[in-house]
Amino acid sequence: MSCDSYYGIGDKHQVCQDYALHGSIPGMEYAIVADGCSGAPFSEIGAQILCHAAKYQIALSYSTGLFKECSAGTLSSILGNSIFKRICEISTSYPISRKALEATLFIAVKTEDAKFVFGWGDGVVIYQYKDESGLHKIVCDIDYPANAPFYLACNPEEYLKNLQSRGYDDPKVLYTQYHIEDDGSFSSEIKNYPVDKPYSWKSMAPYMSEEGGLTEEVDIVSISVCTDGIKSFQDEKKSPIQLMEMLPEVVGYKTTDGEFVKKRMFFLKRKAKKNNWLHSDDLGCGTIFF
Amino acid sequence: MPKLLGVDASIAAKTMHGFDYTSIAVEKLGASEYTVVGIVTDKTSSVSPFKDDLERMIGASVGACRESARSLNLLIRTTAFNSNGIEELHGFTLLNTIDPDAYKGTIHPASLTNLFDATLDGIEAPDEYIQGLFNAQRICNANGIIFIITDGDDNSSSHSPLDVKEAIEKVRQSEVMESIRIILIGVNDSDSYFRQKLQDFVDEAGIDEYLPMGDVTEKKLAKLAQFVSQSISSTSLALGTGQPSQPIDNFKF
Repeated sequence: MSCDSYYGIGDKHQVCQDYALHGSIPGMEYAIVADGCSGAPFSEIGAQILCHAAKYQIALSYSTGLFKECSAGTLSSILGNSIFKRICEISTSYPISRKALEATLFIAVKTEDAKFVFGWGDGVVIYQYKDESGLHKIVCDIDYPANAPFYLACNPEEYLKNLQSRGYDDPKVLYTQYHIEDDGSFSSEIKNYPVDKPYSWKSMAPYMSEEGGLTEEVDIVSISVCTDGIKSFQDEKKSPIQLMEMLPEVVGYKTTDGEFVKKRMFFLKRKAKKNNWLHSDDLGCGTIFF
Repeated sequence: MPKLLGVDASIAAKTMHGFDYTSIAVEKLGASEYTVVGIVTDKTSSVSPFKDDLERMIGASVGACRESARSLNLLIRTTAFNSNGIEELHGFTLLNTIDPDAYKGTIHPASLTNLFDATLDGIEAPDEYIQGLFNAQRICNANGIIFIITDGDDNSSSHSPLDVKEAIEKVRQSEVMESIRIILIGVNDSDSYFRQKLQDFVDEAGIDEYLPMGDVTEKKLAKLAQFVSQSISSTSLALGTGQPSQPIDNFKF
């Protein structure tokens, strides 16, 4: 088992607002990504604070046995509250505005008993699993109305008021879930949830459950959490490169040891340069490979 | 699994000009970028009087680099040459896995000087090794620094300075190695005629730097170890910047 992460600046950005980290403590591996809100000043710092606060809180929750006892939804609430509390403390201790803490946060965790993913805001979660017919992927693309993600640091009332003023009376978060077979064929399903419902998933190995979409027995190979940067590649004619086309570039690992995510991202960027793809957005990705 | 100097040599390969090299199993290379270090040492008859100091110098250079913050990103290959052949003391391996004391007793001086062949091997092997790792997407980026240590002018090579020059140009034209720095270190090169011969080789082959040591002493070899480790460290820090490493300023023996 190994984990690695990568973050890198987009072609047109002056600072990288994405951040990623990974690591392990005895009994637990994790990969975390954050994507700072582009409209918020110093959100690159906010993204980093959020990742490190999340790292601290998941380690704390693990050491107190919460990962063993709780469902994904309960853990998501506990983690969300504790991370939020911690970043608020930081924002009062340091001269940084609460706005700077507005960033997407996705966490993948593997413990001895189960695998988890938690997410607040927009992003992409990629599960790879294998069975007798090959290697398959489940991809969950999480999007928000008006390109305004509901971040962990968002004030719900202000957020809803803002969206309502833009014509979204009953805004919903949009989960597009793709199920991709080994041969490349795929099916998709769209689900709507309340905007303030965070993404959470727990697998009691070897089953996938809850938002992961599968209930039969599967052998999960990897879980990747990515910022929306993986959806922002464009071809020479400025047409977006579809997520399906991007997936092999993102998770088609040639090696799965050491800095395997960094290597993959380097070769993705190299291919993008060779093909004259444009990539204006920052990119963050963290993977646990089992 | 064959071992050289106690180092895993799982993979054996041959360069374009037929030089043999070995390397550790690719699975052991976890990092995405590496600085490749080559130490090419003369083991002709004339190094006999100071061969122990030479071995200590290599060990001290490697030992100092183990302390580097980027020691996990350093790959090293060490060879020793004379007209009997180019001997790989160890193939490409992670520097932090080497015991600096293991170089003791590895240099067995004999025969004549095949300096051009050894230099060509020292440049071609890392280039082809790194190219292979890059093509297999095992690494994303690399740079290199090669030290050639000699106390004699070439009198036994089958290759010429022009072949060395072509090899250096090939490395620089390929997109794989971000930069490479090659340094020729002249030992016991106080004689002006011999020194000029080495300078001619440097000029003809396009080697970056010639560092004349003059008469060899234990103290000078210890200083050389510092120079080698500092140069490796500087090269490693330059990796990813797209720039070659900065030479060590005002270094004098």
